[in-house]
Amino acid sequence: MGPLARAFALERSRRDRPVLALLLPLPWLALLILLALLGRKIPEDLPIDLVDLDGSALSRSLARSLDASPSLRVAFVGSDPASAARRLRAGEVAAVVALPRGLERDASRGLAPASRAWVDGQNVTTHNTALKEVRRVLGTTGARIEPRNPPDPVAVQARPLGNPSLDYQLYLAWTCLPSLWQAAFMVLLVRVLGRELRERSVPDWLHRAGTGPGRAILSRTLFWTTAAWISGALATAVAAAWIGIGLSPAAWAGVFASLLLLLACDAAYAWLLVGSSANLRMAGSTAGFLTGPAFAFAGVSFPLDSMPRAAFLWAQLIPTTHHFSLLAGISLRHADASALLPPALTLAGTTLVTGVVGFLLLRKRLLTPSCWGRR
Amino acid sequence: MKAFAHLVLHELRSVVRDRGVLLVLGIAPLLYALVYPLPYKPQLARELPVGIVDLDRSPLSRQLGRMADASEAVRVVLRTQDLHEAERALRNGAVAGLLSIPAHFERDIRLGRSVQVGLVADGTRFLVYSQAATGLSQAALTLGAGTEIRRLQSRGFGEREARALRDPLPLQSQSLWNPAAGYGDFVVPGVLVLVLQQTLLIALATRGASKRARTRSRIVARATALSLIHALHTMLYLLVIWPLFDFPSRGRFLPLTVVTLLFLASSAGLGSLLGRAFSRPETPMQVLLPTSLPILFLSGLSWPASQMPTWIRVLAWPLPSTHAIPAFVRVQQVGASLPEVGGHLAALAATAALWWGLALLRVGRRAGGRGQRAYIAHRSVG
Repeated sequence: MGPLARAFALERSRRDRPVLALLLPLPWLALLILLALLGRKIPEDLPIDLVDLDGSALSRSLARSLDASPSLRVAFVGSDPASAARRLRAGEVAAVVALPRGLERDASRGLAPASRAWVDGQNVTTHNTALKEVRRVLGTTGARIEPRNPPDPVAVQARPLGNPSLDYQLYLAWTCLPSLWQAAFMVLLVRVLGRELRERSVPDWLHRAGTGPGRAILSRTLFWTTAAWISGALATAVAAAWIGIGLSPAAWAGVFASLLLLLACDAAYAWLLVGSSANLRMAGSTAGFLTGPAFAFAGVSFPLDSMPRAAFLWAQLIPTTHHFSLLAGISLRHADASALLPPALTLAGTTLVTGVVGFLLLRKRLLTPSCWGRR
Repeated sequence: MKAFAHLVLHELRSVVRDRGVLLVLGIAPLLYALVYPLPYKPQLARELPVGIVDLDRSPLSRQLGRMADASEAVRVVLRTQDLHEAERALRNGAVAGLLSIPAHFERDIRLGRSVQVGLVADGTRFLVYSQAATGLSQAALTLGAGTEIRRLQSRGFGEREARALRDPLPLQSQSLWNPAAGYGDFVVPGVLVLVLQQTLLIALATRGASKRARTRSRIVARATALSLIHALHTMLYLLVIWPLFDFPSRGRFLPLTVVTLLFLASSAGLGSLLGRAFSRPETPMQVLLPTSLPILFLSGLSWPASQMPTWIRVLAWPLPSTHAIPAFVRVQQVGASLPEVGGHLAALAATAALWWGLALLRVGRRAGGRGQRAYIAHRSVG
């Protein structure tokens, strides 16, 4: 550790060991939880409540078909709408399906008796799946009992690009990964740089490193950025293997380069935050404020173009927004290089501008004893 | 009781003097509450750019293009006959979806054949996919249904009969509590509960690291003081943030109060325990903040708990948010009653007991009495 510590200005980092011991494995732990949590990939066996007011062979056949659907499970069958409504309100079931009295009789007379479904709109993840599946089961059963049912003149064959089975693991775990690394890395770098100011240990740090403040900042940042990059790249490879994402060598190079650019931008932000406040706690809080809601602004869960102007502009300041464009473009949509250039240049430009300003500010703070010891 | 009230007041004064804790406890919940809902304010993605690959160029295919353009969900920005150009636009993110109309589309429909149209949409973002696919497929299916009904009518069927033939078992559906399945109403209320939990945990752990509370009464007083501030935040959320962002507000006073009290009790217990785990005041923020995203997923907000493996559910169980988020969402967004969220409330009470038990485990009763007496003596001297 001696020569390595000296080369990367890591002296006095021993004090950070307890925090590093938590921060370094934290994104890994979060990623593994996320991958395991989304292990089913698509919602299965969503519980529904069936209110069967007909009690006929047809209604029982519908109950069996709904239960046989991989997405649904008939958790309750009864004839009391009030109990079903209570279970829906409590979130115990995703939907209530009511089959009307006289269903079989009216269907055999060609009167198209309407069934009703009340779906829990508060849970968007289960809402669409449950409704689509109930509709499909009624449609196929209807086609079976009405021999004159004509085929649809226009049939739609849908294909999701980049995620063929609409796999939640690919959608959420793969895209969340950079946010997990960004949050831990920016906080970590703020700590290992800001602590020297807070502890008034700058002269000792520079003396032991045997170098000036500029080089000490660069060396320490280089060490932690490389460590975070190796860890993040390894996690990306593990996540890809777990989810089943196959990439060409060129695509892997692109994904890793984008991750490096993201971490470099985070490092530039860490410099700026510590350099502008000279206060470890304030810089840490601001880093948290930036990285905490980053995923909400990245354009993954809600498209950037549909956001209000203020949210769109804020999203542009957050490095994960541009990294997500690159990650999805390279690994999932296989976009052309020309389409990847704008987010790459934005990320590089932000890194450069923030980095230069942040570096100069931080260097100045390290040289100004009146800025040391702020709490 | 009076002594305890003094301890609570003393803690509140200390919080006001501690800029770091004040930032986390007083400012951060307000900032997050204003910033987090911002991207989701429109609730749904509308007017997503899409392309039409028209290999038929007939009046009917052009009508289909116009019907798609009229949809609220999408806006046709690309009309082409070049499938490769269109797919390139989709891969590069210039359009969110494509509808491919095959050659002889109109002729085949007129001949009574079933025609298949291709729909490709960006599956890397679910909301985008859902909106683009819905906008485009509804246009195609509506066109098909209209054509079929007219055809059946021309064969002598009445309109009602024609509709019954097409759909012998129709379904009337209603989405409750969030009729448009808006993303903001779905995700933000739960996230705000998490914001309250995380800021309370960080604040209590930071206070604990700055100044260790060594008696039971001091620990409880500190948690009470900080929870009081969060109780005010909860009121502010319900009275200001909810109307500001038009979130559904169906919660009744009693269920909301019970959920909030149990949630704060459980979070305060966990925070008090964490307060004994850190030795430096800046560390809780650095360590607890990156845990927010996984804790949100563990709560079952975006992926139902019923779909998670058992061991993950066991791991998530002790966290207050695992029970508080669904309880709060059901009560406030849906209007659920106390018995309807009884399971979540029981779990919250159990986690509160667990965390408080652990937090107070090694603090002796006598020490508590001594500390309290010492504080009263200090106050009377001061």
